[in-house]
Amino acid sequence: MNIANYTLKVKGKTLLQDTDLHFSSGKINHVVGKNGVGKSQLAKDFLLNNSKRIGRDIRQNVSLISSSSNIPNDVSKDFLLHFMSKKFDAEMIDKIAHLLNLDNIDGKVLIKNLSDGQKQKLKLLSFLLEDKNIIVLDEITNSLDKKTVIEIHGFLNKYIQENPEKIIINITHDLSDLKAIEGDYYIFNHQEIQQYHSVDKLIEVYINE
Amino acid sequence: MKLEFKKSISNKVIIILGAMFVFLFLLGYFLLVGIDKVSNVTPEMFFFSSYTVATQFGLMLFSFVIAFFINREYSNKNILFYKLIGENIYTFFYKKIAVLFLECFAFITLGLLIISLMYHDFSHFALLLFLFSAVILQYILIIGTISVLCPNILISIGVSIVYWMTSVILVAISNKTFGFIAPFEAGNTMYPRIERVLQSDNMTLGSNDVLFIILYLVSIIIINAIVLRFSKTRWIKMGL
Repeated sequence: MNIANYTLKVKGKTLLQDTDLHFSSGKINHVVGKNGVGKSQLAKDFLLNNSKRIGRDIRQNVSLISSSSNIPNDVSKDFLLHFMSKKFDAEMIDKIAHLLNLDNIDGKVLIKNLSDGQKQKLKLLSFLLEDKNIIVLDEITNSLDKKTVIEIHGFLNKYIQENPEKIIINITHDLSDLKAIEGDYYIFNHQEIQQYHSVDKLIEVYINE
Repeated sequence: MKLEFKKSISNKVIIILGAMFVFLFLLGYFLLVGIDKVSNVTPEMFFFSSYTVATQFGLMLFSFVIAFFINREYSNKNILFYKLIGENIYTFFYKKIAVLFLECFAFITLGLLIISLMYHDFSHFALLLFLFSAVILQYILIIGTISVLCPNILISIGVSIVYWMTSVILVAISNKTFGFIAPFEAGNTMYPRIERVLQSDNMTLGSNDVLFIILYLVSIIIINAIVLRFSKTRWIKMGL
């Protein structure tokens, strides 16, 4: 996916200016940046096209998994999976549910009463069923316990291996993502998105910024 | 629809609606006994008093639960999930409206059935079922339309109440000019005709009134569809 001369302004504030977005398929494209630089606005822009630079082919082919996209918390896991199985391929549900280790979630409990990690896994399952080619993950490991973060890292590694045609953009400020999941590395820097080939170099820039 | 029914149960929306209708009929009874000092409440009086409560206080009573059922999806950031399962603004809205209306219809039927059984009087059952259903459907459509446009429940309730007060004032100023805005309002011409029908052996309203109510509801649905047509992007933005 290539978007040249990308500029993103939100409420008069310029977040990105004339930068090139280039994200590869078959790998995780990590985008890091400090709070307030516009990471989540970039994620939303893939759907909302506030920048007027996101083509229809991209907008219609994006799944956004973020704090802006929740699953209903007033139903149980069993109801959700049963409901989703009427809309999507049941085999795919089983496969992703297995990869995410959803068996240990109580199926009768309302989702609002589950842990944040369990909710996040159910959200990942639900939105990945869309089977869109571009998947934008916005801070999906934020405030989760270490065990769940490791499980999600493992899941993403397997998922991208099994779906090399997909472009996964992982917007994060959790540097452990970069070490745990190999991919391409980008950073928000002075209203641009710059690529680094070395994780260590990127972390250095991020910390010293 | 199954998802919305499930949500209405787990959010206790169905229980709140049931409680509202119990309150509505009880208020209808106690207004007669407590304020009007009626010692012998006839079924006609009871039904008309309950109908008055529904038309005069209904919007205030039901605005919270209707706005909650729609605005909750914005505050919970669930709109992308609805998109995921193939819904659009129309199916999202009309499924919610349908569930709310069906649940209200069930409670109206139950309430009228119980009161009619108590008095052994079913003479105006069909007419009352039609009138109560039309009044409630009007509220669900109006508050629902306002809620789908407003980012949070407080704004939805506030705008709904302002709309209701404005319509009451306009009808009071001139029911000839503004009567169409609130046909069930006590200051409007249909209200005394309904009272006369309930107190007589005449079982039903004139065809003009029935046609007028149907036309009014169809108009709200058309306005609602136009509002939804221009709110597609807003719907996604408010849900993100």
